[in-house]
Amino acid sequence: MTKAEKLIDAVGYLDDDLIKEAERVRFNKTLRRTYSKPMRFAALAACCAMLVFGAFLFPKFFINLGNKSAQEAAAPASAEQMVMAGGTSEAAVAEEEILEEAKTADKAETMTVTNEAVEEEAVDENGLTEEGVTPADAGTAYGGTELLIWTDSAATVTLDGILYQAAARKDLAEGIRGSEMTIDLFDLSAPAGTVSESSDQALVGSACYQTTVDEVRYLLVEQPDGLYLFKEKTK
Amino acid sequence: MVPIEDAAIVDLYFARNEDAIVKTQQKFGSYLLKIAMNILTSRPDSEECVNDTYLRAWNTIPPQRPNILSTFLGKITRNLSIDRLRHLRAAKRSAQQSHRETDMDGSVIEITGAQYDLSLSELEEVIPSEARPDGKVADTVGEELEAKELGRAISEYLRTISEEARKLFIYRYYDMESVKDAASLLGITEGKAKTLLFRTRAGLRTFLEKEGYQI
Repeated sequence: MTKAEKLIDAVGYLDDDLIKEAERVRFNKTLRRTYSKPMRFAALAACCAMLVFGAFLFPKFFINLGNKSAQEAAAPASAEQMVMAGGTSEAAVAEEEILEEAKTADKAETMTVTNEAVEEEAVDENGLTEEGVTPADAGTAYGGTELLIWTDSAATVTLDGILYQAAARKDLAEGIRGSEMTIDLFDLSAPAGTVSESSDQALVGSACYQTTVDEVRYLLVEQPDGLYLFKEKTK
Repeated sequence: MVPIEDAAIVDLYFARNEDAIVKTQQKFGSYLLKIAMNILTSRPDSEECVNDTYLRAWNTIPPQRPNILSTFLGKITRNLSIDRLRHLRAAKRSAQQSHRETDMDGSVIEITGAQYDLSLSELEEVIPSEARPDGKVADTVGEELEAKELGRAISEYLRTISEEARKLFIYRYYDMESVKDAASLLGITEGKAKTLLFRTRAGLRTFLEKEGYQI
């Protein structure tokens, strides 16, 4: 027997506690393998859930993308129409078609969409409501209460000396900094006050409900046909 | 499935209940097979050694009552595997022909005991003896060094080094894992493992010299 063989044999007589200490790592790994089956199933289930969730959100992402494109294309024309406030032009008709498309896309979302108030509202010959908003601009409802989106970004209201600007449609579509802007964020039990000044005189004196998301104030201005969303104007 | 406690398995041996072997196989089978495979590299031979381990355990418990069953079984498997490897090599030498075996997957492998050989060559440098040209230990030292006594000395030395180095030494020279696998078990790089093993061997040599083992 060579000296190395002798040593190999001697290593076989190492104290049990030393071997046990080293083998603990191996046994722990073995045990993890033995008992990780439920964890593996849980991980698999989580992956499947994520895939299903992703499969649901992926098309929605493109729908939202289409909405934004349509709105961006429509917004300047709408503003121009508000200023001109006259004669039905081909551009105005095209704008309505685009906005109709956007509205149709909205309906494809899981959110409940009702347009009853808008449909019932009188529309003048220019396709504008009394507030100067096209029916296509408004009518998104949450939880049964209507939340109208003011697409005329120039419209402003003042409450307690703070100037608010009509929130853009994308604020709602994208959520606000990760917080989905829903009507649930507002306390509708007690108005925060009434509109003291507004670029649209029809809104003066309307009841307002206030909330703050990510240090930005939001207002819901109550109107007979629903609630209008305004966002604190920042410099 | 809740693992059965080692003490309960030992109790089954004492009760001469054959479930003892079944439980032993369930709990330690893969561990023992790994030890045998590291030494023999042949699965059929390794499985035979593991089965012999169960028989040996059945015959020795009782009267023996091992404190740590895994270690007790592991040592039996290790010794049986080393004995089998030496026996196979002796047979090969005597037959003057290469002994070949067929692995489980049908591929033909040669019995090399690769990790065993590597472990041997690495440990050659450790024992501070005046080895004769034929590689045999000098009588003045070799006959005095009982394996158990040397084993105790090595254990004593291992207690003086870091836990990481100690575990690595055991993986490499007790379990005969490859350096790569041993490093993997500890979550360190192969290079670091080699360095650590080199220092441990050098330290062991110095320790054995100080302990009076003949140079």
